[in-house]
Amino acid sequence: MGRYIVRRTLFAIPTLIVISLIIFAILDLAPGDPTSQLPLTIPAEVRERIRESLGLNDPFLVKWLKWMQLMFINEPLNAIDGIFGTCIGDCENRARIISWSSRAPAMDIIWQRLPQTMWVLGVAFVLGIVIAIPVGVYSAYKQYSWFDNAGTFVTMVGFSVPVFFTGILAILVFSVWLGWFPSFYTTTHVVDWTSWDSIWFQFEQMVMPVTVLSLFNAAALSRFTRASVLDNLNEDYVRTARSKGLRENKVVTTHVMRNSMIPVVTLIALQVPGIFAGAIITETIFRINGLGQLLIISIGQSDVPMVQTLTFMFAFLIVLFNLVADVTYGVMDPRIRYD
Amino acid sequence: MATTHERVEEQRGLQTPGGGEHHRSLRQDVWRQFKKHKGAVVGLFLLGVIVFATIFGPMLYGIDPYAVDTSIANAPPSAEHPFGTDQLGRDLVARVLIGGRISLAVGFAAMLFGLILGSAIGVLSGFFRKLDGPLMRITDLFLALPILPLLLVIIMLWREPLRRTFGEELGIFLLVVFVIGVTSWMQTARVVRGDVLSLKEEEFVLAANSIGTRRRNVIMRHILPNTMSPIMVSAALGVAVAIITESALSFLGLGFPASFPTWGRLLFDGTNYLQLSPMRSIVPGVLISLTVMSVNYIGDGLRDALDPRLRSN
Amino acid sequence: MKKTRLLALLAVLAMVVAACGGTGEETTTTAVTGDDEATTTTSDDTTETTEAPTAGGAGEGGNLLLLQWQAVSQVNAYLSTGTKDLLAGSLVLEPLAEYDPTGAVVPALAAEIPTVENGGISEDLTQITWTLQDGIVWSDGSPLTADDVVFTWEYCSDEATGCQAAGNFVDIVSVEAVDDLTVTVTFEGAKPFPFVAFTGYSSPILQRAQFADCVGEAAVGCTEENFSPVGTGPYMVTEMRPEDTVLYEVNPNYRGFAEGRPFFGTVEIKGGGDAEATARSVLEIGEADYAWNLQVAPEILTPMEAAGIGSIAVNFTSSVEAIRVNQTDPDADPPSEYQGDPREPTGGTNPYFYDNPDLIRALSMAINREELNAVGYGVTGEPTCTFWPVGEEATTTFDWCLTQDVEGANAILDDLGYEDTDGDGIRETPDGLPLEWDYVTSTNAVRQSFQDLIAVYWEQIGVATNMSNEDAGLFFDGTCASDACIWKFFAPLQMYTNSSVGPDAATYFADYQCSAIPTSANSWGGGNIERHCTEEFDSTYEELSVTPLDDPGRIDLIHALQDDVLATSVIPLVNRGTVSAFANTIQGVGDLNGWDSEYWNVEDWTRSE
Repeated sequence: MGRYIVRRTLFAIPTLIVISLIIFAILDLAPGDPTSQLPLTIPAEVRERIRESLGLNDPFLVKWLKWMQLMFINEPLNAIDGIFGTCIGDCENRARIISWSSRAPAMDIIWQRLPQTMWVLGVAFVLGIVIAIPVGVYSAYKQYSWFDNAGTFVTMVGFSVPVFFTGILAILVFSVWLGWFPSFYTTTHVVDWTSWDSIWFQFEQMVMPVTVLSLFNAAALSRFTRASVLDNLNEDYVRTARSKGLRENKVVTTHVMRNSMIPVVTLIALQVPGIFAGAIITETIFRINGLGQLLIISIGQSDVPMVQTLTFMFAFLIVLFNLVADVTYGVMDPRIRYD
Repeated sequence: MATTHERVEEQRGLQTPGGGEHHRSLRQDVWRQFKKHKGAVVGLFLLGVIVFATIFGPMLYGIDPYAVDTSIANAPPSAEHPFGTDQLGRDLVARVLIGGRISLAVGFAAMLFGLILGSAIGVLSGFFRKLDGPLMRITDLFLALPILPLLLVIIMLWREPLRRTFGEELGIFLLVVFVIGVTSWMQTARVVRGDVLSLKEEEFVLAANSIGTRRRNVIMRHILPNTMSPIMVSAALGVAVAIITESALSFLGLGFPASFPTWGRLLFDGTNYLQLSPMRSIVPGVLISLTVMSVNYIGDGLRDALDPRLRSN
Repeated sequence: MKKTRLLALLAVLAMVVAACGGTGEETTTTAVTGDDEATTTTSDDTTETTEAPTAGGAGEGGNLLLLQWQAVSQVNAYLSTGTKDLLAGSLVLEPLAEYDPTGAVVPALAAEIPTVENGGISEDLTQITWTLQDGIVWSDGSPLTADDVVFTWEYCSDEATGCQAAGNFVDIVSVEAVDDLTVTVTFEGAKPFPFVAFTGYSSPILQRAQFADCVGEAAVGCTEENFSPVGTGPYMVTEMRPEDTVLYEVNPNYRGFAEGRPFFGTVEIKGGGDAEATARSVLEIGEADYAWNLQVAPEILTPMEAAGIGSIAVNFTSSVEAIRVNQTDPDADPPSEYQGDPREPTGGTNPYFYDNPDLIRALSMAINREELNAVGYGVTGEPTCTFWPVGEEATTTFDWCLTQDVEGANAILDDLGYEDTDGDGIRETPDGLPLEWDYVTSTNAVRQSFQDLIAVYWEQIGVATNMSNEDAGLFFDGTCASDACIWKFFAPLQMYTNSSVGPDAATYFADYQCSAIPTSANSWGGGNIERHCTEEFDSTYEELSVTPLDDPGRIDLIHALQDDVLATSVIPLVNRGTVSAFANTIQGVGDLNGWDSEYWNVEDWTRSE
C-alpha cells in the first residue's frame, strides 16, 4: 500500500509537468494582447514598451522554463515562508508570477479569493452530500416506491436543468421581485461569529448560490448513491445477512452502507476539483468575486500569467484528488490489491 | 465502478456469446425492457418531438428567424408571435427552432466524435497490450486537465483561424464540436477498455483467434458488438453533457457569436431582458433542460435495459 | 410579512431574523440632472465650492458604495489597464489641473491655470510654468513640492516602467523645478494646448518619497505602492483586492478637510457582474449609490429608472460610433497598404471610395440615424453628423445627414452613373463593379443591430453589404496579431467607436494626417485607420498646430479639418454618451464628467435621506 501511494505520487509529477506544458503552450499561442484594453489613442510605441516590460517578447522555451521555475520552486518556497514566517534564501527579492493587469503576484490574488469561493462552493458541496446520501440510500432501498419515483424525477430535473438557468431565475425572483437577498456578494465581509447581524449578512448573501448549487450537486450524487446501493442490495451477502435473521435496519446501515459507500466516497473525492470548475459559472451568475470569476476576467483581459496559474492550480487539484480517491479506495476496500 | 462493470460483463458474456441470431433477440429483449421504463419512453418521445420540430419546424413555421423589424421590437407573446420578439423584432419561435438545430447538432456531433475517439482508444488499449500503457496514461492525463478553463481558452484562441478557414458558421461549429468531443472521450475509453479486457478472455474470442481470424475482424465482429451497451449508455450521457457544455460556453459569451442563435446563446442574450420579456430566457432554458432531461432518462432506461441482472428480474 | 415568509422558508435553520437588507426606500428627491452651470472658463482660481455639506465634520457621512462592473486591477494610474483603474486612482491621486464636465481646464493642485496673458505659457507656446497651491500635503503629512511633479515625469517617461500615459509626456523635453512650488515644462515645439501632461485623471502626481524605488523595471514589483499610493486627494486606500474591491477612508490631511469635505467617511468600489446587473442594483434594488459605464440597451435601462430609487446621468463627449471607409484597396496585394509616400499606396486606392465624396454622401443620406439611436442607445446616445460633436468645434456642414433621404441618395447614385445593369438589385459602377462590400465590426449586440439596420437602408439604394463581426479582443488587439484588427483594416468598411482622450479637438485630429497611417512598416501603429490622406488636411493641420487657443480663426481651422475627413472617410452615426446611474439620495454631483474622472468632485458629494 505504502509503495503504491509513493508510486502514484511520483507519477503525478510528470503528469503535472506535461499538463503545465500543454497549458502554457495553448496560452502562449493565444493572439490576445494585454494592451488591448487600453484606449485606442495610446500610441503603438507605448504599447510595445508595455509589452516589453511584461517580458512578452522572450522565446517560448525561455518563457516556459522561467514560468516553471516560478511555479514549482519560487511559489512553493514563498508559501512555506508565508506559513511558517521563515525566510529561505533570498526571500526579499524572490521573483513571483506577476499578473499583467494588476501587477501583483498571481498567487496572492488567488489566495485572497479562496475564502469566498470556499464559503459558497464548499458549503454547497457539503450540503449537497448531506442531502444526497440519505435520499439516495432511501430511494434505492424503496426502489420503485413513490419516494423513489419522485426522488428520481427531482434529481433528474436537478441534474438536467443547467445551473445558469436556475441561478438566473433565482435572482429574478428573490433579488429583483421580492428583494429578499442581495444580488451581489460582498467579499470584504468578515464573519463575526459573535454577532447575529454579521452571521445573518453572510447567510443572506450565500443563500441563493448555495441553494442552487447544492441542489445540483445533490442531484448527481444521489443518483449515483442510489445506483451503488442498488448494486449491493442484490448481492449475496445481503441475502445471507437477512437469512441470518438480522434486522433490516442493521442490514442496511452496517452491511449495505459500508460497501456501497466505497464508490460514493471515491466519487466525492473526484468531484472536489469540480467545485472549482463549477465556480466559473456560479460566480459569474451570482457576482461572487471568487476564483472562477477571476479566471473569466483574466481571460477577457488576456492576463496570461493569471490564466496560466489558475488553470494550473485547477489541474493540480484534479491530480491531487485523483490520488486521494485512489488511496481512499484502497484503504476502504481491502479486496483491492495493488501491485 | 470498473469492478462492478466487469462483473456485469462476465455475466452477460455468458448469456450472449455474440452470435447473429442471439443478437437479434437481445435487441428485442432490450427494447422490451426499455419500454418498461416509463421515464425513458417519455424521454424518447419528447426528444423525438424536439428533434422533429427543429428539423422541420423552421420550414413549416414560415417566419424568417433573422428578419429584422424594429417596429415590433420586444413584443410580448401574441397570436402572431407566440413567444414574442427580441430587441430587433425577430420572432422568438423561429429563432428557438433554428437555434435548436444548432444546439442539437452540436450535441450529437460532439457525442459521436467523443464516442468514436473513446471507443477506438478503449478497444485499442484493451486489445493490444503494448498500447495499453501509453493510451491509458494519455487518458489519465486528459482526465487531469481542467476542462472548462481549457475550453474557454482554446475557444478564445482558435475561433479566429477556424473562422477564416471554414467560414463563420462552420468554423465555430467545428471548433465547439471538436473541443467538446476531445475533452469528453475519456470515460468511454475507460469503460470500453474494461469491457474489452474481459471479453478478450471469453471463449468465443479465444475461439475466433484460434481459427486464425484476423485481428481487425475479431475487433469488428466479436469485440465491438459486445461493447455496445456501455457505448450506448455513454452516448446518451455524452449528448446531455455536450448540450450543457455548449450552452454553458455560449452563456459565458465564449461559444457561438450573437448572430448564431443557439439555445445557450439565446438564453445568454435573454438574461438582460428578463423583466421586459422573460420568455426570451425561459423558453430556451426550458428547452435545454427538457432535452437534457429526455436524454438522461433515455440513458437511464438504456442502462436498465442493458443490465442483464435487472433484465432477468 | 416579509419576515414571516423568510422564516417559513428558512425555519430549519432557526435563525434569528435580524434586520433584512435595506431595500427600496421610497425617496422622491430628484438628483443628478444637469443644473444650470454656466460654462466655466479657465481662469477660475479655486476649486469650485458647491453648497457645504450638512453640518458636521468631514468623513461623517458613512459609506459610499460605487459599482464598477469592470473591477479595478490596481490604483496607480500610470500602470492602469483602463478607465476602471484610472477612476479608482482619482479618489487618491490628483493632477495639477482637471477637466470639468464641459471640457474646460480647471485647477486641482495648481494655484491657477497658466495662460499666455498671466505669463504661465511662453509667447512661442513651447513652455508652460505651473505654480502649486501653497500648503498642500500628502496623506502621510509631508508637503507636496515641485520635485514630485518632476519625479512623475521621470517615472512615466522611463521606457521600462511600461507607463500607459507615456503618450502624455512624449513631446516634453524637460520638466524642471524652479522652486518648491513652481515647475516649468518645456516642449519640443509649439504646443498650443499644453494641458495634457499633469492634467486629468490619466496623469496625476506621484510622490517621489514613495515611488523613488519603483522606476523602470522595478515598477512591476511595487505591488504595495501601486495598490495604495500616497496621494493628495480626499481618500486613502485601506484595502485593495485586485479585480474585486477597493476600500478607502477619508484622508485627514486633505485640504478641504477643515471645511468638512469630503462628506463620506469611507468609499467602496465594488467590481464584478455586468453593466445591466449593476444598473439594476442602483436603480431598482437600491443596494448601491452609483453604477458606472452602463452600456445597456435603452429598453432595459429606461424602465429601471421608473422604480424611482435612482436616476440615469449622461454626458456627451466625442465617443462617436461611425462607419470607417477604407481609402485603400483591401482586395489589392498587399491589401490596404501604404508604403513610402503615403499618397502612393502600393496596393492602390480604393476603387469605390477614394476621393469619392458623392458616394459617401449617398451612403450617409440613406441612413436613418434616429432609428439607429433609438434601437441602440435611446437617451444615452444622440444622432450625429461629425466625429467631434461637442461645443463650437463641432462642424455643421453635414447636418443634412440627420434626416434620412433615400430618394435623394438614389438620385445621387443615378447621377454618378451607378445603375443596376444586371437586374440583381445591386447597382454597378460604370466599370461594372457591383456596389457590394464587406462590413465588419466587433461582436456586440448593438453593433449587430446597427449592421442589420444599415444593410436594410442600403438595400433600398441598391447597395449590398456582407456583414461580419470579429471578437472584440481581436478586433481591438493593439498587437494586430490577427488580420482582424482595426488597424490593418483589410475590409472596405468597418464600424467602431473612437473617442478623444482629452478635450482638445486639435490633438485628436492629429490622427488624420498622412503620417499617421498604420502600415506593416510601422507595425500597424498609427491612428489614421481610414488611411485618409489629403494635402489640404495636412497643411491645415500644420497651421492649426501653431495657432494659440484664443485665436478666433482656430475654430474655422478645426471645422475645415473635420469637413475634409467627413467628405470621404468617416460616416458618423451616433454620439455615445457616458452613462452612469446614481441613487437619488446622492447630492452635489453636478453634471457627469465625460472628460475626466466621474469622481472628479467626489469631495462635494453628499447624501440626503
